[in-house]
Amino acid sequence: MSDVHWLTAAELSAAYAARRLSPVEVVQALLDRIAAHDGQIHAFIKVDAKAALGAARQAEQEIFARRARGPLHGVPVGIKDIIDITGLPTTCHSKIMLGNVARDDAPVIRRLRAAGAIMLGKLALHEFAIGGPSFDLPFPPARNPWNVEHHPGGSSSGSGAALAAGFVPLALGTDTGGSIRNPAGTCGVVGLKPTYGAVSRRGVFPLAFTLDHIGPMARSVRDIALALDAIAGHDAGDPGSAAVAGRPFGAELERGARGLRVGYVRHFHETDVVADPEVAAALDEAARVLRKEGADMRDIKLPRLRELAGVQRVIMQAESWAIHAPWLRQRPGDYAEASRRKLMSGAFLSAGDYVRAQQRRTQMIDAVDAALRDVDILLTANSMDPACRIDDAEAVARTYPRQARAPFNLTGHPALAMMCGLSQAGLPQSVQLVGRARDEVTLLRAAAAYERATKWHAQRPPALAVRRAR
Amino acid sequence: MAVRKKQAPRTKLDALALAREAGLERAVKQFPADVAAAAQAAVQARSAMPGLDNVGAEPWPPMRMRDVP
Repeated sequence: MSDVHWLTAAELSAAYAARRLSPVEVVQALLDRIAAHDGQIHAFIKVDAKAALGAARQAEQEIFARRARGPLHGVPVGIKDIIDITGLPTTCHSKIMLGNVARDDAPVIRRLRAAGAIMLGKLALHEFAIGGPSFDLPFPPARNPWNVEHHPGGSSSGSGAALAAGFVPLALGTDTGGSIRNPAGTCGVVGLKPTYGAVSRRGVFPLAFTLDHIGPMARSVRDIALALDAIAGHDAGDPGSAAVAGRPFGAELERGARGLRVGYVRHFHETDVVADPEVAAALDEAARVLRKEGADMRDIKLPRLRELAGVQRVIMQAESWAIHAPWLRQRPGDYAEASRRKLMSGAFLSAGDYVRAQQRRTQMIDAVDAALRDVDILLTANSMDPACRIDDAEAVARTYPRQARAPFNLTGHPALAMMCGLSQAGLPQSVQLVGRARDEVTLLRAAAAYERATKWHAQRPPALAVRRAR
Repeated sequence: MAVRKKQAPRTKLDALALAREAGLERAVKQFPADVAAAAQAAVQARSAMPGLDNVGAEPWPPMRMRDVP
């Protein structure tokens, strides 16, 4: 079978069931592809080939003995290197954590293993999930497979890059201010930040306790649903853990958009932060597609983007400072410049600032909940610009306030980013869909309807799309 | 313009003093520009935050007692 590396998890599962492919063949094909191309992309910090091949052999035996555990059995997954896997260092892409070998799997990894998934290795990120593409760290920054001179987004940069490069069919990312949705959009894949607490945060190095989310990234909406089925669930060891839907997250993937009420939050990118015209046009086109598919589109207003983002930033700065203060005091030179600057910000905030932000947060959650009583889904911008060059530090810095992701870390609502166009420069553009708390089923229904109606999910980075017969 | 020129260094000095109080002496010594940038980022985030229309608004998340088994 050709192009194994572009198969989705659902397609792999079907191929295993029909004995057209085996997990060992797939893992080996991906290892070969990583060996051939990751020297340019730098998506992986560590490829765990031995363990992955061992797990693939076990999966192969079980599946072919008709003991398949489910749709992720034998499916390789890349893990952002901020999530613990037993026996591997969780480096957080930082000099500070190089010797931090995990003693246990994080619960999210345990859940993936129980579903039969295969951990292929640890993926690059922005240092501690906050810095930026830094060149003063022990590992190089991941690059965008659509153009390696460009930023892949972050902080789950390796996760987005590995998916777009065909290194893995599934990846895990984390998202405190948009870190799943930014690389998903920039690399032209799908990324879901689930409802706060739907996936256990235990065993994941924290950035900001009340904003941190763990979620799946994939090349199809169906795979996002399958991954979420495996990783979501209550964890008594995570005080922020929440109950999840009692039915499969993909239960309504085939239902289409007809009758869905979709609120288009135009003011985010038309007046609050004016988007690049190409991005604005792509968002209008996404709205038009959903309307054509039968959705009831209407404009809707939320609090201003600058205010939502300001509250999120105060909370993120305060909480991340609380975590990093001891190291910033003792060894500031061991951080990359970008992360040092961001992580020290909380030192300049007062207790009153933090409490005021949390007071405002309550009101903003109320505002988004109120909007989602009138509509089922929100459609908003993701990034306001296509990816910039990775070596242009000023351009990278400008991207942080020019996005509409952080509001939904603040409010905890589930939010998904997916490709909705290609810029004239050939870089992916993306749209963000937001659902009601704990209603990922409807959010994924909308995303699947959009995916079916467009061609974007089938696009591949030109330099990596060359077909190779096996 | 003259006033602005005097205020900028003073703000920076205030930031460095605050940083020292927060235990960041090493960062102040080795990376003063980063300390100033961090202080500026905090100012920007604080100023973007809207004022409270109800000072008695409950902060998120509300205090909750655990269920004792």
